[in-house]
Amino acid sequence: MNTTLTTGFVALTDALTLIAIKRLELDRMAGARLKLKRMGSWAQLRDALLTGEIDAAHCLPGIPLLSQADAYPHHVRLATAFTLNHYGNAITLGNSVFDQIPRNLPLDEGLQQLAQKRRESGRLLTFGSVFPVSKHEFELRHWLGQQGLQAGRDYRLVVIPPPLAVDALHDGRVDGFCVGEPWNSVAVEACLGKIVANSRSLGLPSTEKVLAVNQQWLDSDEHHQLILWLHEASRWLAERSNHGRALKWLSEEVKRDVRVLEPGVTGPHAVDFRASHCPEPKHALWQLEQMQTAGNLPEAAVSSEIAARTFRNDVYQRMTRQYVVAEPS
Amino acid sequence: MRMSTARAIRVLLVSHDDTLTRSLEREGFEVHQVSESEDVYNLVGELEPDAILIRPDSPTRDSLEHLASQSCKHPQPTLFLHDKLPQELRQQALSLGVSSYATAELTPTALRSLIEISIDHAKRLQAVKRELTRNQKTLAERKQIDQAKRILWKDHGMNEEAAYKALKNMAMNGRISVADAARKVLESKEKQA
Repeated sequence: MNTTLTTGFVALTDALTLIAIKRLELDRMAGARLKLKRMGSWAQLRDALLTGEIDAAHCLPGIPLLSQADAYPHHVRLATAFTLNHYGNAITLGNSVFDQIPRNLPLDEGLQQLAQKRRESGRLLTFGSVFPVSKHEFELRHWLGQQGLQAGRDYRLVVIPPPLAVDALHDGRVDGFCVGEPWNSVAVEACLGKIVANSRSLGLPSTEKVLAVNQQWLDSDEHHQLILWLHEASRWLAERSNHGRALKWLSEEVKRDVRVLEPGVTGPHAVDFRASHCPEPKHALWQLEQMQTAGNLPEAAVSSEIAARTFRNDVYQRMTRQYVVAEPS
Repeated sequence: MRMSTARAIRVLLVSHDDTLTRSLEREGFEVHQVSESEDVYNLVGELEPDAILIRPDSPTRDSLEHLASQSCKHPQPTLFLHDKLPQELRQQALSLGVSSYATAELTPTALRSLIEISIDHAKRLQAVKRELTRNQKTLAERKQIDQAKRILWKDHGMNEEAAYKALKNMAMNGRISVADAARKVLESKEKQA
């Protein structure tokens, strides 16, 4: 095996495991090399996976799920055998919201009043998520529902790419958003808003990012190698004493100050590098249900068969069993 | 006699490229050049562009996809502007139908044809989709009418012809369609069960 494994990623805190492989030079030990390719949008990343321009990607689970539900042309099917992050999102509301809610009101009542006012003025409350089939959007809908707000009637949803989310909040184009770190902390640091919930506090079935590959690549030596590297990098990242170095690398990749990156690595919205990386098909099924409710999928696509075909815990178990044997004691 | 189409083809260019803008304008396009941080939801709503040109690595693509999935009224084709695009990748992309790729190396005339073809293609695709939706609806309605007829036949001892007549009468009296009458029969059966 003497090949280059090209892996796409979006500049977010939970891409750190992939970045760490490169920075720790874990790929120097084997016959293969890892090449990281930064993608500007989830759409670009998805197309690159479907066309084979990249071998693997740091990906929203919704993308491989849609491919298995045949939502993309020509039946290219993607799957995952490795979970990269469980919790990484937070919901931030802009100052514009807090300024218009009387201080003595609980947040939900205040939001309901504000939603009504905005409806009457013809400018609905607007919230941003990052992609139509993202867990971000499901979390946002869920939280707004808990506040007594209804999509369509009380607010509209737009898609804002993470790196532009903070600008959109600043310009008042959105009243709040649900994005992954570091962008919530960047908004708070710039005094543009407050974080009101995160993936942990919402407690929904939580698979946030996966390593997505073409289904035909699942059993390849290259994929196996990549999973071994990810395991090693996660183990390294699980050590708190390594977080200083990790933050520095992330800061170079995301081009943001270490201070705003800390909450997503060591703080309240941190990626849990110790958590199991084994795909959980029941999380996949939940996401299929959410996509169907949001109108992105026909009812027939909500099946445990599609969930199991996409979230390959069997491949994970097979590959990591070998990993345990290969591990030097 | 040809109806006059007064308006030039309107292109939204999400990229800073003055050279491209000038050459498109020379080809007779109306070009609106915007930066990535602008609100594409408003822009597309206000400008109603006929086509959108964007670089493949632009973050704005995700917003544009969401927008396209929401509005069926204006099927704007999106063309991606690569500096260089390997031939095999272009073919793969085309065969996937995920996106139509163009390169910035094209001559203005070729780009013009490409934009026009894409607009035409998007319109046809839209027409096919509408036709499909209509057919699916007709098929579903026919199924419901058949089910309703079977209920009337079983529960009320009507033959097929009488059952259809009964549905027609219901529709006429209630000033609704036969399909709606069938739905009512199915609903009342469900309530009984």
